[in-house]
Amino acid sequence: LHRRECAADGTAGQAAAAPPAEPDFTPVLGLADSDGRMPSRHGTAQTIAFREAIAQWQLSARTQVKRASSLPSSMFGACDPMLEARLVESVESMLAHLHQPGEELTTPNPDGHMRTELVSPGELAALPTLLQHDDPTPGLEDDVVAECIGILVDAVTTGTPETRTAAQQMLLHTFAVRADAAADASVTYLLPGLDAAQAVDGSDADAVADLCQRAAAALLLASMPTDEEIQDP
Amino acid sequence: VTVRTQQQVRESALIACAHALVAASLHRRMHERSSRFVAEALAEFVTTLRHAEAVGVEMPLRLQFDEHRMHHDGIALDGPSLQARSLLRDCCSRGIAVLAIAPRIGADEVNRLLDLLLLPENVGAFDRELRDATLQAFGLRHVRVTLRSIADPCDRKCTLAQDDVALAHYQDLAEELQRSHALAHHDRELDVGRTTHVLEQTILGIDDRADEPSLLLSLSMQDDVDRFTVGHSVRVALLALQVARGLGATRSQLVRVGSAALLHDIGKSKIPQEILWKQGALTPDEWQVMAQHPRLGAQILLEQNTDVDPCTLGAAFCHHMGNNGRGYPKPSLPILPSGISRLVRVCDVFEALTAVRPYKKALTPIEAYAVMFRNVDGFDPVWLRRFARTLGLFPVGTRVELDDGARAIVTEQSEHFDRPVVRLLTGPAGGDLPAGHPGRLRIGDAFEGRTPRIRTVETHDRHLTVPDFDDVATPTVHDACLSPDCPGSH
Repeated sequence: LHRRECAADGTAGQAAAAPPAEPDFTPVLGLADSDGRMPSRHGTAQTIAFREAIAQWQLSARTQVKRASSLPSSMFGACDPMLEARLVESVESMLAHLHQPGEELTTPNPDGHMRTELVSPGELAALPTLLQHDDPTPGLEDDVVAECIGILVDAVTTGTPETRTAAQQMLLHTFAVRADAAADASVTYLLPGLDAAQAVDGSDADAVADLCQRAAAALLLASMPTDEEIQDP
Repeated sequence: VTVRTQQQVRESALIACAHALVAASLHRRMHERSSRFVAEALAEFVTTLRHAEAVGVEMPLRLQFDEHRMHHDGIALDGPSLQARSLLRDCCSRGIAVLAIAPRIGADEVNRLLDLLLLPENVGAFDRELRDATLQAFGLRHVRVTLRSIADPCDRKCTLAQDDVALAHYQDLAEELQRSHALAHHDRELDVGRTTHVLEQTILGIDDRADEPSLLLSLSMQDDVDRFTVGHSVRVALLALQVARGLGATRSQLVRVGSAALLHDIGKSKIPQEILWKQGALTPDEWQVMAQHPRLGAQILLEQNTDVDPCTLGAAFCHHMGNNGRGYPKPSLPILPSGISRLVRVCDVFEALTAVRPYKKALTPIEAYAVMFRNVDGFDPVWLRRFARTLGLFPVGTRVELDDGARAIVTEQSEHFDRPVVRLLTGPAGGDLPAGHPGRLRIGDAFEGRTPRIRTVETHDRHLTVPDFDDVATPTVHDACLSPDCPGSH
């Protein structure tokens, strides 16, 4: 069989070479000794078993085809070297279709946002039009400060003690947001900054957003119980 | 169902074997030798090996190694090599040219083979005079090792071909990320400076060669079987860098973008592997655990002794946040994601949609765009459009069939996002290229009396018919709509 396949691929010269000398060349079609679920990207153990079953079936199908043809192997190959392969592939595709009917891509997305992944021709056709918007050039570093303050505040409120400490340090040293400041003081501290930002550029939305986020962060942190209060309420 | 030829079936089985060996080696680095994950990876290698034998791959399996690639019978195995830098380096340091593995090998024996290949104390185990004794001592009855000759050392310095340079950059990023995930998994300090350095080297390499980003992205299409979140993160980083370059980002901005994208999923290193790699739907409880990974990622980064760039922190925390407060996590204060986080989000979802996952097939890029445009609250539409225009409807590396039946691969974008430049792989109807044909053409440009257009896009297991965009007048509102009021949007 090995020689026949090679001949079908047009590599008869290589196929004639002697089989390797290793003692374990005999085909083994059994499954591996693990019955656990494997983190496979090729399919589950069951689908692999299914493929192996098909492979085994291929071998026996070829034998049957040869018997039925009642022709010597060489003549069979001379007529159409790919006949065998086509026959077994047809059956394989039918079996595969039975195993996994349809081409539907109804897959759950981990985001939970997109349940349907079937795309209509109309949606594809609409893409060039959808892309022809006259957008402003987006800024890579837009809103970085406001985003970071928000994340740090989240870390202070939800994180582990180590995270909380690190986030508080970063809030204080990088963004001058103090957990122990009174809300009034925080706002008083921030208002001049807000005025300055508007004086430089009245439409500097990023700067205003940063300052608002700082104010909100300061207020939220100021309203949280201190470590001492948590330990001794 | 696509009917594949015997040759394709064998190639697929061979690549699966190589992937499984690389995966087993990566699991050995990440987990204890006797862990369940190692055991499963070893069992999968054994299974794929036997499957390969069953479908006619010549046995024993002979894998050849050089500094950058695995080969089989002289054919480069680029996909499996993408995440194999450590394994390749270990094989090189031991002077291994070929590993021949017989299909009767068991999982325990593969594990012992990995002891020899991976453990630093065994680096001299394959010295020429020790080789046979080593194999015998480790009970490796189904393994044969061919060592490099003195005339063919694997550390020979030579000028790398362009493809090799791109592959090396990809492998560097993947290896660095593998290391970072392993460190985070074991609660150890990340080496953020080193990650930044690797990125800088990659970006320098990209700057040196005008076509390097294309080569890198083409490579990323090879790795359609990603067993770790590493391949995903590397591809997200390459996509984000491509878009940032298109925006004219400075080198320091590119480093920020690349670092943020590369480490955006670092929180997954804290998610139990049983959940992370579960095949099938997650239960609500498992989903709750999985949804913690953005917050865990930010926590990991904050706990580093060295300062982490706010953009990296932002991408780790915000890459599942959509518009209008959609997505997760739900922060204590409302957060408006930064530009980099919005870009990483788009790249993340695009990569996920176009990659093979255990629970789905890969969408073609053009389908992925359509799915993303459907989700009006999922993305910043400005970033989504910028992303799609930069990559084009047919990104570099996409395999296509033209309307005359010629097969081709996209090699670069043109000023029109729907009209890439392609390199022809065949002539019309799959035949030979006519003599004197330049082999390259731009879609939509008249050539020899006709205007070529793309008829289908191929993935490794599907063909998608592409509409003729020139015939399209206006999209129907129901089919694709960005308005929240659109009845078709959800």
